Amino acid sequence: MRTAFILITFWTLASGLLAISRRNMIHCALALISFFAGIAALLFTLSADFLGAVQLLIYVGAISVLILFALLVTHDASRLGDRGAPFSRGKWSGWMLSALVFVVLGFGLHRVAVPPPPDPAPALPVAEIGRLLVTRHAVPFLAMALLLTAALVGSALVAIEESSEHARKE
Amino acid sequence: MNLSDLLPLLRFLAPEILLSALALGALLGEAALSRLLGVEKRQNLLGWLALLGLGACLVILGDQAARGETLALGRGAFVASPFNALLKTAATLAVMASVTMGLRAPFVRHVGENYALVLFSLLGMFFLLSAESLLMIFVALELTSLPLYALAASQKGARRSIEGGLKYLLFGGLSAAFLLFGISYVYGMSGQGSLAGLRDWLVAQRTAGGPGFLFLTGVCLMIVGLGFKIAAAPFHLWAPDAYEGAPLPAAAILASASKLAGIVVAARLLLGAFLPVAGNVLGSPLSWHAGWSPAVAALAVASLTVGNLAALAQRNAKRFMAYSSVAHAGNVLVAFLALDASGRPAALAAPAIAYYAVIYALTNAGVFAAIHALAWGARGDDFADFRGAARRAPFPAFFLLIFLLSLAGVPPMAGFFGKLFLFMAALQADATHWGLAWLVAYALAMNVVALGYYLRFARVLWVEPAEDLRPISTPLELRVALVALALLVLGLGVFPSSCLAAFRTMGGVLLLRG
Repeated sequence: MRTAFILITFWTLASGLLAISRRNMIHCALALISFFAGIAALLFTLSADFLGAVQLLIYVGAISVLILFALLVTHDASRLGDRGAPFSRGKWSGWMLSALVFVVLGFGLHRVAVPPPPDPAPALPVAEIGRLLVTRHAVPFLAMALLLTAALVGSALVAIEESSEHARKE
Repeated sequence: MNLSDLLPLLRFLAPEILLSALALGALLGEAALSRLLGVEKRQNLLGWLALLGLGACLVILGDQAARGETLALGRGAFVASPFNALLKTAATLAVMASVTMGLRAPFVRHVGENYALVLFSLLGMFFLLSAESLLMIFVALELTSLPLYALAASQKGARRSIEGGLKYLLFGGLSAAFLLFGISYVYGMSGQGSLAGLRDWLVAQRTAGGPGFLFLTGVCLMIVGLGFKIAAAPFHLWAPDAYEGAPLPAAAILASASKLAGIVVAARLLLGAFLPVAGNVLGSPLSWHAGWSPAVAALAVASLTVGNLAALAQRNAKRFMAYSSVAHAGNVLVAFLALDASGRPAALAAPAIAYYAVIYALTNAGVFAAIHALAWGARGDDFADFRGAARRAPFPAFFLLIFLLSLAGVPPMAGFFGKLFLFMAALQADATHWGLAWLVAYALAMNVVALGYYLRFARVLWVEPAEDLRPISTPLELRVALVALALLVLGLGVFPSSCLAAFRTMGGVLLLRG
């Protein structure tokens, strides 16, 4: 299990790096999907089965399709990356800042005393999660629904006008 | 639970329900009317309907504040209290000013969607102002911000609107990532989702050897996320571009209601939940105690410096207001540090922060409404375009002067008392040793600089000669909005101590469970 965990970690990290470093947006998106799948695999190795399944269904299944779809319908998106280099002027300060954040987070994780895992691992049945969503967490759940509506309307507003202007030009 | 149990719930949730209905109604209205009416008619009709609905919201909120009842749902996920109702009233007023600005100036062709986004954003602020749990704070922050990203980019023809909107989106996404990462550490270490539960856990940890480094890392990450939201330096980089690119009504929301909600949620987190790990910054750096205080002090000093000095150099009214908002974030952060050596906050601190946030939101809404009225006849929104505007449009120019003086902190405007209470709270915290005098002295010096640049803007309007002498007409509804906001700013300045006393007696300024 440990070897699997380490291998999957490297796979995930490599996909993540690819996703931010490729110039072609489609390649970036594909690398990102591989990254999502890596996270799902990590969750499975950590015996967080429910989260892993959610990650597979939502990220690998839905979000990735959404990203690819957005790239395909967006005007010239696949060639967008060819013009400007993804690592531009601010790259060194960017690397330094990320290194700083990494060091702080790593230091924090290094210092933490990991409590022994409870035996057996607590199982939260899906039915219970569903029940919590409509009782204790009902307000955040409803707010989330509104959030998704707002996000949909917002993205439509940003995208739709551009395409109509584009059409007018033609 | 049967139906009769739900009815009282409805009374507390009525503003949120009404607002969701309004937002969805705006979408439906657009769908129904887009074939029948032209853009401008729709803009006007839907805008007035939105104003009517928001007015109804104000009535409900006033009723909630007057009844004085409180309700807490789902471990702090939604807390309705008179004080929260008051904060929501201020946010609603600021958004109403923004809607009024947009009534006759269509900047998008999809009117209903535009209003729906404004209302969704206000709904997010309502949830945020009622949130005392980490989960709800995150969801509500996103509900507040996502519509604003789209609104900031909604001036599709203008390149800088797209640029500003994109920068806002990217920085906002990054800030959300920091906040969420911080929340996951904090929740992971403590197992507490509600703010009151977090505070109790932290108090219990005092005897058990402290919450641990990882928890504090989480708190620091959350501070980074919140710093983005309230545009505190060095996390303010999005603000000038977003303000400049956004259409004026959207920029008004960014600068007023959204900021109010951000400041309140930062106060609830830092002075409410994380108070036991505050540390302090009293006296010389050698005597400071570790905690979030030194980090917040660094943000305060950076914001005061960057905001005020950069505002001096601005040539564009909207960028100028963006840097002014950075400077004001610095001012308000000073009161976050008003803790004595044993970590107890000054009695004045939380009410002063709330008072300042409310005043600031109303004043900024007024500034943007006045700039909007003046920009009607101007080519753009650079200072040069406003030269001698007072002669062309004395009415909005007069009100702009009032709002600018309030921002500068000139008595008897409310802005003066806002700053006075902030700094008094900081001095009160460690009154015997003058522990925070260094910070207050610095803030005062920077506010003198601020007086200079606000007056410079006023000078552009009132003293410099106008090239074009054609009068600019101001629509009636905008005049009404300006008068109403000015009356509020002056009124809150005439009775500052009774406002503060009211805030205090309303209870639950920070967290419901005192």
